[in-house]
Amino acid sequence: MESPSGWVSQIGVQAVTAVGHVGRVTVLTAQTLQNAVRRPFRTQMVLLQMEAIGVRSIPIVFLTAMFTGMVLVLQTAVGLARYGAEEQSSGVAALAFAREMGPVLTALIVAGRVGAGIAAEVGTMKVTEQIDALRTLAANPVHYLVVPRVIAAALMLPILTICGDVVGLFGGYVVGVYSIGIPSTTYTQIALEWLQVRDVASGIIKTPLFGVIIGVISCYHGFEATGGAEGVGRATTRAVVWGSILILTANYIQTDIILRYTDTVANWITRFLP
Amino acid sequence: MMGRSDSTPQNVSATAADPGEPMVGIEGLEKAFDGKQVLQGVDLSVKPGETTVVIGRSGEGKSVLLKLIIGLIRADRGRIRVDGEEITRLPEKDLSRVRKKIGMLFQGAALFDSLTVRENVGFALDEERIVPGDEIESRVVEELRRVQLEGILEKKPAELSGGMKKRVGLARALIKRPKVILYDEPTTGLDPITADAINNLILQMQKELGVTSIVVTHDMASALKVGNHVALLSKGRILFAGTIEELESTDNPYVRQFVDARAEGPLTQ
Repeated sequence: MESPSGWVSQIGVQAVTAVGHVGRVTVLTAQTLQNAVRRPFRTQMVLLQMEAIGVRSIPIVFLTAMFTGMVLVLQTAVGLARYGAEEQSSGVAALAFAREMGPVLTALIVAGRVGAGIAAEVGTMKVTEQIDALRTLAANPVHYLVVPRVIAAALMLPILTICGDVVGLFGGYVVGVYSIGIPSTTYTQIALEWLQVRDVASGIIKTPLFGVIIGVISCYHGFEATGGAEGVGRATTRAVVWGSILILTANYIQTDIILRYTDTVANWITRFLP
Repeated sequence: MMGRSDSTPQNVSATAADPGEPMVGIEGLEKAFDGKQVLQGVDLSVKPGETTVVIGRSGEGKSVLLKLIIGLIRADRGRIRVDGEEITRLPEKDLSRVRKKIGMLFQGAALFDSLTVRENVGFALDEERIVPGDEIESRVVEELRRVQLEGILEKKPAELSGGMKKRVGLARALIKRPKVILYDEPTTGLDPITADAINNLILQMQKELGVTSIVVTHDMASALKVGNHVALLSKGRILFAGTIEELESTDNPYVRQFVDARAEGPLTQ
């Protein structure tokens, strides 16, 4: 059995390692922001990454959104039926999906699919000296590799979320109307009564940061990869795990801020509207 | 040349007795990784237009030495001068300028998997965004012809053999018109005939372009064929440096063990 001093030293080592990671991720984020406004703008690479990150994620995002929307209505209907308010499940599900489930689920799905891909690609480049080769050819790896991926992820996450919201709400509608038996017009009317534009907006507004997190964390773990295929495998796992943890953390913080200031901002905007 | 046949480890210079500014000058270079001292005070001097081969066992820090020269990693102590410019303390943006004078052929060629041969070879010019596209195209074709490759412009690295990858990697390094080329194990993993073809290319680059070359290898046949000078790196230091003739005639026990390929001797103690 390890002595208490051994445990203390282990905790110390872990703490120093964690601080090192936080520091390096912060530096990479700062370098990414700095390089994002530096010429040349790699428009074609951004478009290619938008296709890889966004378009190719559509099937898995749609599938997840559809079944989550379906099960959400199924479960809320069971609970609300106890109070005789089964038809209200359409509103509850719509609100939950637009504000939370849609953005977070989409981000987690993309973190799994795309984050792993980016970490594996960058990690393979690292262990095969391709990143060193980039630097010997006077190219900046952050400008060449990280910036296009981060911009593409930040742009595609809101679009995927909107698509996911629509599909999720449709999935809920199918179950609500055809399985539970809520009349179609009642279902739609209640959903629209509950759901306001600000609910949808408050969900979507959080997603560009999720995209930045996926891009930066995946590239960071790729850059940190060492030791061949095993190292690339570890980098991939870490990218998905830490990407997911940071998405959930950022979601809570953003939601808290949005809930505190939504009314203030809405009032401020309406003051300037005709 | 100091201590050429001395049996004790000490730092010597490949061309220390030669007058004039070296193209690459290294003094007291030290580098450690995770507390392990890899280089413990390396001195090396390479004259313009010459090829110096650094030989040594695997894991002795030969590739580290090349990465230090091109500024991919930072030295803990010591100085490196390239073409008269001290690079050891240069910030990254200035290092990019110095790197334009240096080409590097990596051990596994390090071609960009996602790009075609055309894009790989033309990469440095594409990045500069100064040279027009049609000129890049003609320069790519010219460099590929120089390394005896034609008709593979649209191929991806995965479709090439090991020898072809090295040639494309060399063409990619040459397109910048570098003054110095660093070769990291250029013949490792190749069959003897392909390895000899690569050796011929290294000689051809020296003859045609007059570039200064530093070749890191443990392949003695390659070292003897391409080198003007040879330096033996072991235990973090240059234990021998001299011409090919001096290498062949020395009684330095470190050199003898390496050249004679013996498992027992001072290098393995």
